[in-house]
Amino acid sequence: MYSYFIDDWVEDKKYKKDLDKLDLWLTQHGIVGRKIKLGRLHDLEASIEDCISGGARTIVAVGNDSTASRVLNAFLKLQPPKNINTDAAPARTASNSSVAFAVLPIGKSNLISQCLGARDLPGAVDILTKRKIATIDLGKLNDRHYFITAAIFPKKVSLGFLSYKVSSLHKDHQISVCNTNIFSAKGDMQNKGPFNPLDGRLEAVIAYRPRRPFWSRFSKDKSLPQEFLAESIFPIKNILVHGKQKTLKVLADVEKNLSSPVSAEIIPQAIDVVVGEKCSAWCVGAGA
Amino acid sequence: MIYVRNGINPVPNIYPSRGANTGLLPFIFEISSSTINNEINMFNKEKQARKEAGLTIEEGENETIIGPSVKVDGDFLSEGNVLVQGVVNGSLKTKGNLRVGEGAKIKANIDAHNAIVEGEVKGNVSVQDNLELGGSAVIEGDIITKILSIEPGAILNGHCSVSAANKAETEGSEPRVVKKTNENKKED
Repeated sequence: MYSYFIDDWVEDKKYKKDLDKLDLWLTQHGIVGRKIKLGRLHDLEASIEDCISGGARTIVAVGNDSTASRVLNAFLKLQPPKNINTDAAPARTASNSSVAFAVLPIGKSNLISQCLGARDLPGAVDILTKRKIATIDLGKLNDRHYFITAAIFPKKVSLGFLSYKVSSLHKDHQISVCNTNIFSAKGDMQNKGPFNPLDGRLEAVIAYRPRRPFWSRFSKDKSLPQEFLAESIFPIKNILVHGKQKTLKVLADVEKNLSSPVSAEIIPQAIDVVVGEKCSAWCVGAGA
Repeated sequence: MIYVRNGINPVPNIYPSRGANTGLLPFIFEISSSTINNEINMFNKEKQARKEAGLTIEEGENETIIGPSVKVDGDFLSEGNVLVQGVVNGSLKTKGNLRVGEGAKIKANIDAHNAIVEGEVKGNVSVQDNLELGGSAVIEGDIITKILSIEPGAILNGHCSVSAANKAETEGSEPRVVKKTNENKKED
């Protein structure tokens, strides 16, 4: 029923304890499945196809955001998104018959698993055991690369809408196209406010980093703002991002080099994912 | 000294205590909880009424936010609520409510359902229902609206047309006068 795709770097000595614990927890919860190790030259699509034809109902990426993105994009090549028509209204229903996608976080940069409700590995195993499923939207860049969280663009880009253009007056700003909330404080990755992966639209966000006083460099006060704060929000279904260079380095779950202008669009209700109970704020109608 | 029984900060109506059992201080005032609740209810009702009339836009309700460090060039179109704190050049149209914050600079014609203006606008403002000009508002252009309220300190350079003519048309309380055409006369 479960197929685990484990990235090759997870087998490093550093993460051996985590892997051993994971084995134990999976056995204890009775969700042991086929394990596939991902090498650089691994044919991921063939492996996923093999697992699905063998009866797997949950494809689990074990690793960080890069692993999850790699498995997700290969998975979507085999099973194209359910709803390509962007005008369709979100029905917010989860079909239990289809194959679901899940993430077990190991290592650093685990934004995807946090957005799906899992802060750490034990929490993610619990969520996987309960198998609460929600059908969420996905973002798509240049008509081929899918992302769950957000596409973060480099500086000196401008957002091109249908009839108007948006640019930032600040030097230290960040332009991103978000599906989920990436601006919450760490550990509180709830998708509140306009950031909802079920609403059938993306949010183009211009964020800025507040200036920190000089003395704060020597202070251990963690309450001081270090991250970017969302300042301007534009709800969109598709958008063109213009850069001054021919290729743009975009961080969309994983770093990608894409040709400019980069088109970003929403694919509503594209994929079934396993989510945590704390995602109930946006998982309306999610079935167990 | 003000003695508050239920822990809520006292503001307007303070009644002398009746039968307070402290006995040590000469004048002890207390506020009955019902009075405070009435005040809060009145405030909430007023707030609700203003919200229903489209005169207030709460922060979480804004779908589009144009921040203070953002510049928009072109014809901006929206179907939801819009909060402008930055710079807009071109035109600005929304089917929802518009709030122009203090410090915002708009060089554009504005079209909105309801609007609250607290910044600078150079252009004509056309609002279907309520237009509220805050104390810091500067408008250089003509205004067309149904209901207008202006706070002291607001600057308005331009013509101003306030009329409820549209309302009477939409409500349709009286039937329209039908003029007889030549064709109708022939039928008769």
